[in-house]
Amino acid sequence: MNSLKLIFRLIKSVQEFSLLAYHGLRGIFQRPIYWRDTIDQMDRFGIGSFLIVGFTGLFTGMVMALQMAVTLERFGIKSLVGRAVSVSIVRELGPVLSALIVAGRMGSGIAAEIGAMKVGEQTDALRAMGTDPVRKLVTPRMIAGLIMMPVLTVFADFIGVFGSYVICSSVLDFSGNLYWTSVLESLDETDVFPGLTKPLFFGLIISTVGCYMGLGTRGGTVGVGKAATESVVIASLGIILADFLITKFYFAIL
Amino acid sequence: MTQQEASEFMVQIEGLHHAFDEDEPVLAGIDLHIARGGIRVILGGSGSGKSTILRLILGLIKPQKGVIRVDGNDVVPMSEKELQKVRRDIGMVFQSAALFDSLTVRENVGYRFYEEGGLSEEEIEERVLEKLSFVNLEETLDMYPAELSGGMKKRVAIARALATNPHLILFDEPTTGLDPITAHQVTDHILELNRRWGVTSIVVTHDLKYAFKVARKLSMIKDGKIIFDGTKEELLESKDSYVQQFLE
Ligand SMILES: Nc1ncnc2c1ncn2[C@@H]1O[C@H](COP(=O)(O)OP(=O)(O)OP(=O)(O)O)[C@@H](O)[C@H]1O
Ligand SMILES: [Mg+2]
Repeated sequence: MNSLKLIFRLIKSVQEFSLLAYHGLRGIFQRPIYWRDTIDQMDRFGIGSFLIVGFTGLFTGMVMALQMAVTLERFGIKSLVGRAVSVSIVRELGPVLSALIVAGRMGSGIAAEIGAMKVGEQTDALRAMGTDPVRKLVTPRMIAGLIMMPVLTVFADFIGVFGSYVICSSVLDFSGNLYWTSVLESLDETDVFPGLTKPLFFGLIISTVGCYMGLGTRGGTVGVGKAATESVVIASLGIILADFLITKFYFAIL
Repeated sequence: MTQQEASEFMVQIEGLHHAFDEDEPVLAGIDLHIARGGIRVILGGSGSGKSTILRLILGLIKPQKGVIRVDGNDVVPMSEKELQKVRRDIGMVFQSAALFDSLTVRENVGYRFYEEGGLSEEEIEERVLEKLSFVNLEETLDMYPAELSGGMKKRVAIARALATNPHLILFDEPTTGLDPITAHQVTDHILELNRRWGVTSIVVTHDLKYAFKVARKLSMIKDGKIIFDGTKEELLESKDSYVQQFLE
């Protein structure tokens, strides 16, 4: 009985979430578009995340180089380190780790901000004054996620590959030239394409989950905290699930 | 109900039922008739559904059952788009003021004008200042809500509700949390709006002192029903035990 109720609630949530995502996305193609809010959100989503994403990329690249070197050396193919690291970063680690880090930062931020607006009756005030909160709050954040997450990911990829280069040339005695040629040789469209599609979805997931949790906030300031925490958890799980599905999809078609 | 009778009332509510989720109904058969140009106070304990009634009148939520007419328009079946037209003629002062944190007082009060476009920056400023002067807060024009005290926020919220010269204004607990002097100022604003422009007001409160000062008529809500409807004198003479408890 109770689990039946839970399942119903879950189905209802998924339905509400999809509707919000649909309305938010539709807002991209219809007027009015709130440019000021959009640019403000892009600034917060993107510019504000560059540092932590770069940091993550750098150390991931360095760690990967160290780890790969140990394994590959055993097979006598240590020269493939650059290749192995860059492929894993561009395909998987760059997009997923950046998205998870940004989910922690923006997912909670978006949910808390919109949640505070919800409990402070500001979302009602928007409607009372003729503004659709989805257009005003959700669409700008979705656009920001869609545009900024790929930008951040490309940045993280570069920094990651660079971090690996630093380790290769300093600790592993690689020549720089050899490293960069092997990186460039190994990367092709089957890496870059999935690597660039993923962040589009991840950015969308982070923004939409944050907005959905924020708009569903109940129960005062306690509710705001809860919405923020839950949105990080749900967005992170969503990213990991989407990563699997997109990877599977690309293996099927490429 | 004939056309003649309908136009006599600004707000007509009949047989209104509302419940959130599968919980107990919050409103279980409310009837309210609010005359044009009147000031109606709605009294009731915490959680009795006072804010819910205002939300229903604005069309922010839909009732399970019942009719709500605002200025003759049946708002219950209306779409969000149709509601926008009706809402343009309704001002709402939310319980928590609900000023937009990221906007200045100027942008808050002039929100609709910025949103709708068509007015120059000077024209908007003129209108915003006019409304701010009504609540004596012109000097806050370029401040952010975070820089205002609770009472100032409430008064800016009143200025914002007045921006489009609405005929109906809904006040949700306008005096709660204010010091007596500010609370008196706010009640004076409500009275003056009525006197100067014949604005119809619905004032939700549990504060009897201010209720008596502004009200022509009062309604009391308990357990989802209106248990009293009448003038101040009638309220004072009521034999209902809950009413008497409330008066103490
Ligand atoms: N969005 C909502 N979801 C679920 N329940 C709600 C919601 N809004 C209000 N309620 C419940 O409905 C009841 C009436 O709420 P309402 O806000 O109308 O009360 P109120 O009379 O304005 O109280 P107060 O004087 O404390 O402001 C309360 O029990 C409240 O818990
Ligand atoms: Mg209330």
